[in-house]
Amino acid sequence: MYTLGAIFIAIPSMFFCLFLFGIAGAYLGVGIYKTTGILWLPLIINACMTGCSAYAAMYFPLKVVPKASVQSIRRIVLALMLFQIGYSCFQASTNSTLDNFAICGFILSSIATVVACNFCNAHVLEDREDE
Amino acid sequence: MLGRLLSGPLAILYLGVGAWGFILVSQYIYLHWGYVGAFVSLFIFPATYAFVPLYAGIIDGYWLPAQVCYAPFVFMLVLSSFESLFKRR
Repeated sequence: MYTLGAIFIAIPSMFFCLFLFGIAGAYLGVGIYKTTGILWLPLIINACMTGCSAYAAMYFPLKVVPKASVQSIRRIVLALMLFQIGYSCFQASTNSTLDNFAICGFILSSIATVVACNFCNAHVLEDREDE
Repeated sequence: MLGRLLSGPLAILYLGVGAWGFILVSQYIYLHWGYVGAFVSLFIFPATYAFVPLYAGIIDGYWLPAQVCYAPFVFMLVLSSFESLFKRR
């Protein structure tokens, strides 16, 4: 129940953080693309912003749940992101309406979310050991 | 705590704006002075990157590199002045 509750708190807060950080990253990315024609930099910036929003959204829910739930939340997030990566690869292999840029963005964002979730877990567990 | 959570996105934005400015200035140098100019300015006289945005603005009227490259410094100066103004003694 703690795990489910933490996930139900983390998902809306992640959308909120994604809204805040994603707008800033997208604004910067559009500026970079329109003036320089470079696509990889906006992709990386948006992936990093997604990772930051995942970190910020996971931090407070992970602080309050039991330690056993922290690990299970990490596994659930990992499974979700693996599903997203697999689905993106499936879309890329079929003739979907999504272009390669969007698919690369989804895959990079998923990887950034997994990395941020691991960092968040490690930091939360460190903080709890100090307390 | 909130500062720790917000410092990551702010650092990414600063790095992104810095990379944007670097690419804009590099493109300008490459277009005006060619490959040799870009190589010399990058590896022998890197201080060129500090002055080329102003040169582009004054000579060509192309102010975008100046806006992108100098805006973070102006923003940082304003923020630090606010910080020193409201600092508790």
